[in-house]
Amino acid sequence: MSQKYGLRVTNVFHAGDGNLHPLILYDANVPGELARAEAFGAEILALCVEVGGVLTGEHGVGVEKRDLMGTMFDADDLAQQMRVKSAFDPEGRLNPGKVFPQLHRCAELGHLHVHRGQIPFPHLPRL
Amino acid sequence: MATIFTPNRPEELSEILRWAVANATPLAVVGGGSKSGIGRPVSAEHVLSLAGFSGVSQYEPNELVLTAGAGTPLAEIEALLAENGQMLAFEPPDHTHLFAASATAPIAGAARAGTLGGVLAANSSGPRRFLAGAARDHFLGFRAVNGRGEAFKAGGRVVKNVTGFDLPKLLAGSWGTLAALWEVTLKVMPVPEFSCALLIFGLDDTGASRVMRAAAASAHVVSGAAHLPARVAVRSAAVKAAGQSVTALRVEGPELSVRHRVAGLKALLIGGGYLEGVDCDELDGPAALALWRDIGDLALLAAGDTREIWRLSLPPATAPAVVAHIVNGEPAVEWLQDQAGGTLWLSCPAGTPAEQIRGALAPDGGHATLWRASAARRAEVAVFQPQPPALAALTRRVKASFDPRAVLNPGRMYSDS
Repeated sequence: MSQKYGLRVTNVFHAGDGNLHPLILYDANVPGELARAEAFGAEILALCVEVGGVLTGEHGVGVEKRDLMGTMFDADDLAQQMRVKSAFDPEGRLNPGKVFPQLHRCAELGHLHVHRGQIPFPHLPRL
Repeated sequence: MATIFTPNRPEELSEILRWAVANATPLAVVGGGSKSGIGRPVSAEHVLSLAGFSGVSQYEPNELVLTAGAGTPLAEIEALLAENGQMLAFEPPDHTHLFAASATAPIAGAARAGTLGGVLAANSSGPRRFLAGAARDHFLGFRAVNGRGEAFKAGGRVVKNVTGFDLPKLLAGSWGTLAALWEVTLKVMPVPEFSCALLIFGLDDTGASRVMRAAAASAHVVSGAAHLPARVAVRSAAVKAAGQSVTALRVEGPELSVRHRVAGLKALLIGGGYLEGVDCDELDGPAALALWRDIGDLALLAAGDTREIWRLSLPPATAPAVVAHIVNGEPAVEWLQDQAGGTLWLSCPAGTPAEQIRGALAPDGGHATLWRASAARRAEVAVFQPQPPALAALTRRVKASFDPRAVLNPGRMYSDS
């Protein structure tokens, strides 16, 4: 992969508990290197999932790994997690845009709360 | 007429649940049926048995991970782990004897009842819980079908995983009300090489509480801390000879380390003035294993046919005052402290008011579950601790997020969800 993307990678492991911390070296001043580094990272994660691992062992899914959730979970898996989010946060106020790849589905699933005739996130595209 | 559905393929399980939704027909979800007497009675015409999903599909002892069908008998799992020098560290107990037609104490060495899925759905954990964690903490992943008939999975097969929501934690202790589990993955642990219990005789509940908390807070890694009042202790073959109350502290690991830590623990307790005027002993080998099994299985509490068993989870230091408040000189009540006092098991005469039990807990001072009672009683008394309105509303929304038509074990935990 390092050859494919033309970027060096330093590997640090928490070997005992199966954690890998690949550090992809790129120069932000070189046009295209950041995008290549991100694609490189995504391919590493896809391989982890393929061999039975997961996307993250320590820091969770925020924004950078959000769109890779689909490599580990199918639509029904993600829909169930998003319904649980809606149970805790029916109006989608808490960190919208984090964790789940298709934001609009968060408001779409579960109980859509209509408050004073307004639906939440009217600007979001809906299915 | 009641039908027992026993699917053995996930597609069949989905089909049954889609049928249940389409016909608004609730299902009673069971594994081995050993815990069917716990919780509120479920009014369901048909039974969904997960016993058909049986067998270990993946077990890598070196990785400390096991995947099996949710209906796999616990006895089969424990035998396989034992062959490999491993165990379920959360020590799932066997309470079947409390729910048999005529209550008899469990037979030593008999196969453990229950299924792996049932253990997780009930978050069933034993005396090592305060050190090793509950069943919930060893539950890594699952595949299941929700109350919409949709197959889904959550978690994974690795110990360190923070990808998305940790739904195994939510499913543990949900008593089959959220989804029908058909495959589960757990973390397993090596069996300790040696186990020794430091026994202290003749303490009252207050003295025992101080000893257990000092031991649990020490550097000696105590993995069991229970107090058996005299009339409970006399039912244990391992410790009845003393004829007094028994406070047991368990230390596990390589023998050299265990001997060193037991000596250190004893010195600590003597130094703290906890052991003045009381006798001590040490117990290891099969008798020690039997003692902890009896404590976890509730084999020592009076369990005559009509007695009601309560489980209280509370701040350990409050246990003696809560016991005193509930017992209040009533000789018919028996109890034992487990988890260094964090779990209090009570055996009461039938009909003991729930208010008498729950009223003894300080505000926000824990919760009480009516663990064993007649079906009629479980239908009229709140079996699980009543929730404040906001939490009850959240519980209903979580239930609806998995099972909007309430086809899975409706009413098992709360009458309205």
